[in-house]
Amino acid sequence: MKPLILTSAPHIKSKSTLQQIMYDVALALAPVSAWSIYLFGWKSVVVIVTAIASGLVFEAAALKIQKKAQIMKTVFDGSAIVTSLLLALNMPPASPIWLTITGSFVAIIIGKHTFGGLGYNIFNPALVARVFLLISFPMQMTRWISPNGFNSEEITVATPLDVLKVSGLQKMQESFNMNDLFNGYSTGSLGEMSELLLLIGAAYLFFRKVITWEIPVSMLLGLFLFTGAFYLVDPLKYASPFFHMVTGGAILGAFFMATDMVTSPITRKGMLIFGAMTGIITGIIRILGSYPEGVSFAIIMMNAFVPLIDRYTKVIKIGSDKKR
Amino acid sequence: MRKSLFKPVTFKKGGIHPLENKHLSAHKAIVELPLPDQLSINLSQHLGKKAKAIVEKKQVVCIGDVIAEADGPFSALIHAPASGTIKRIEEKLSAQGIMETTIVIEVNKEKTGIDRSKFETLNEIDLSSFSREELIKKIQQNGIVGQGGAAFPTHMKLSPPLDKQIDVLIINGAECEPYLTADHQLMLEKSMEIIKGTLVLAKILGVEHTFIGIEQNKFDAIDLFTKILNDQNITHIQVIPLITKYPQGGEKQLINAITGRDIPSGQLPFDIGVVVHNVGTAFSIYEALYYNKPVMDRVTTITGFVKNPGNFRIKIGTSFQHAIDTGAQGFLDEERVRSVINGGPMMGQSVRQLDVTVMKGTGGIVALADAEITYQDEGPCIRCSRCIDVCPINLMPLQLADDTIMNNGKLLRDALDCIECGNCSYICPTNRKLVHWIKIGKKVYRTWKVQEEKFNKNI
Repeated sequence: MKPLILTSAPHIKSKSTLQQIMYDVALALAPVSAWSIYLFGWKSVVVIVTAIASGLVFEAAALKIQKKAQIMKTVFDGSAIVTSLLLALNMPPASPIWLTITGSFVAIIIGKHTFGGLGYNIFNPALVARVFLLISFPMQMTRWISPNGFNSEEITVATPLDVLKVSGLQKMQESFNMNDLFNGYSTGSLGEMSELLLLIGAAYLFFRKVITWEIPVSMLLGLFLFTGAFYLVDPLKYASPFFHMVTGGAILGAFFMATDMVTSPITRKGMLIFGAMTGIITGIIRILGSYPEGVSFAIIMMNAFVPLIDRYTKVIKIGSDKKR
Repeated sequence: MRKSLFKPVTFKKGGIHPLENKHLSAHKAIVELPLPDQLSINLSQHLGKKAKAIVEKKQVVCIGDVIAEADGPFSALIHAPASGTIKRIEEKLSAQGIMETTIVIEVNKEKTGIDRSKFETLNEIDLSSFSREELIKKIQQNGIVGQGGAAFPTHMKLSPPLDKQIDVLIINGAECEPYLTADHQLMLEKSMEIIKGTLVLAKILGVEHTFIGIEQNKFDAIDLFTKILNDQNITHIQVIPLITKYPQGGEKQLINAITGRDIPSGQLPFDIGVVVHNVGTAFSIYEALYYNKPVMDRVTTITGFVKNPGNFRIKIGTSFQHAIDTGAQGFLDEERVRSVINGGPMMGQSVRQLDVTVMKGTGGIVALADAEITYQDEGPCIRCSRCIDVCPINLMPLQLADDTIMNNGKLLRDALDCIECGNCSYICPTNRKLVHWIKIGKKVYRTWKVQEEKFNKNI
C-alpha cells in the first residue's frame, strides 16, 4: 500500500475549475465569432487567429521569463485564449496583422503580466489593449468596412454611433433601422455586430453560472436610464435608449467584459454599483464626450474603482450585531 | 397518519450540494464488529480537558470499568470497552493527527463475552422518578459525549447557566456529510430508543418544543419517526424535514433552519435558548439509562473504496486497520487507496496510518481512491466570489485567506466565526485551500490579540 496523502479538509472538490470557466466563456463567444466571419470573411479569420496565436505566444514568453512551473498547463488554462478572443472581437475587421499583434502584446504583457498575471490585474487586459490601440492608432482603429462576406472588396463606411456623433440623429435614422442593428447587419468591431447571438452566448453563461445578473443588468439599466433621460428631454436631438442598447459594445461589454471576475467587485452590492456606474459613464461619453463609443473607457474607469467599491460593500456575516 | 406540519426548511444563506455517495452504505443493517485483540484508547476522546488515566500497567479491567477519570467539569469519563489487561500506557498518534496519551488494553475475548451480559438486561425505568440532577449525573457517569463529530461533553450541554432560558431542543438527524449513513441507519433501527433518549433530554432541559431535524434524502426515517410519534401520541416532539444541503447539520445552520434564530457572533446556542444534540447521543443516553451501559462503542460507517461498505457497531479503541479488514473486508484495491478519513470527507481528518483508532466522535471511516482525490497546487484567486456565495456564515473567505497569508491579525476577527465546513475550499475553481488558511487565521488573530493587549497594558 502506498503512503496515504495527508491533506486538510475538505477531501472532495467540486468539478468546477478555472479551465471550465474560461472555456465556457470562449464557447459563449463562439457564435458571435462565427457571425463575424460570415460578415467579414477572411479578414475576421485573420484577426481572430492572429490575436489568439500571438496571445498564447506572449503568455508563454511571459511565464518563461518569470520562471513559472507548468508553463504549458497555464498557457492553455483558457484565460489567455479568452483575453485574446475578446481583444479580437474588439478590433475593427480591417485591422492589419501588426495592429492585432501589438494589441495582444499590450493585453497579455502589459495588461496582465506586469500586474502579476492571472488574478492580479486591475484592468481588464483586453480593454487595456483596445484603449491603447484606439489612442495610439486612431486611424486604423476607426476605419470600418461594410460587411461583404468573403468578398475581398473593402468599402469604408461609418458605424451607427459615428453617424450619430458626426451627422446627427436624423441622418442616423435614415441609414439604419433597429431590427438590422439587433440582428447584426451594420458595421463595427467584430464582436459587436449581432446582439442576438451575444445574448444567446450570455444565456449560456448564466446557465453555467459563470456570470451573475447584477453587472449586466445594472449596467444596461444605467445606460438605458441615462440616455433615456436625454431622449425624453429632446427626442429630436438624442437617439432613443433602445438604439444605445443595440449599438457599439453595450451588450458585449455588459455581458462579457464588465463581468470579468478578476476586475469586477466581489459582492453582489458592489457589482450593482459597478454596473450602474459603468452604464452611466458609457452614456456620458456617448452623449457628451468627443468619442462616439464609450463602453471600453467606462469599464476601464470603473475597474480602477473596484478596490474602493469592495472596501465599502463588504458582506455582513450572519450573527453580526451590525445592521444588514 | 400525521403529515409533517412544516414544508422542508433550510438555513438562509450559502450551502453546497456535493455528490452524496450515500448509496454505498445506505440501508445496510448495523453489524457488530468482531472484537480486536487489542484496543488503544486515547485520553482525548472529547472536547475540553483530557481525562486522567486511573489504571496501571498489567492491571486487569472488566468491561465497563472506568479507566480514566474526568479532569474537571469540562471533560468526560472513559470506560473500558472490553475486559482484559492493560498492556501499556503510551504516547500514540490519534485519529485526529495529534500525539496523545493512549491506554492499550489486551482484550480477553472469553471474559468479555461473559462480562458483557451485565449490560444486556433492560431496566424499565420511570422517568418521572428521576430528578434533573440525577439524570445529568447519570449521563456524566456514563461518559456520554456528543456523537456528531465534535464530541462535546453532553452533561455540559445540558447544564446551561441559570440565567439562560432554554425553550427549544433540537435533535440533529441531518447527517449532511457525504458518504456517511450511520445516523440514518441508527434512526431506522433504533427509532423508539432515540425517542426515549430524546424524552430524557427534553425532561432535563424542561423545554416546550422538541424538534427532530432530518434531511429529506432520509425520507424513510422522516416517515418512521412521524408515524411512531403519532402512534405513541407524543405531541411535543415534532419531526422537521430539512432540505438536503451541506452543511444542514451544522449547529448554527440547523438552529436557523428550524427556529429562524441566529446565534450572535461569539455566543453559544444557550444564549438564544436552544440546545442541539445528535441522534447518536440520544441513543447513548437511552442505553445509559435503560441498560446502565456506558459509552464503549459507537455506530460508524465504513465506506468509500472498500469491498463491503456498511454501518458497523465498533468498540472505541479499535484500529482503523481492523475495522476496515474485518468489517469492510478490506480495500477494493490497496494500491489505489490514497486517503483514509476519520469522519466525513468535508470535515474529517485524513489519517497518517491505519493503526489509529476509532474514537467516541468517529462517525465514519472513508477510504478515497486516486479517482476521487487529486491533489493540486493552489492557483491564484480569480475573484469569482463563489466562496462568498456558498459560505453559510456569509464571511468573505478569499479576504480572510489573504489576510492570513499576509499575517494581518487585526483584520481576522471574522475568522473566529468560521464553522470550518469547507464549502469555500470545495467550490474554489483554482483549488485554493481557503478553509485551511482560515483555520490558521484564527490562531493568527488570537496571537495578534494577545500582543495588542500586552501593548495596551504597557501604555
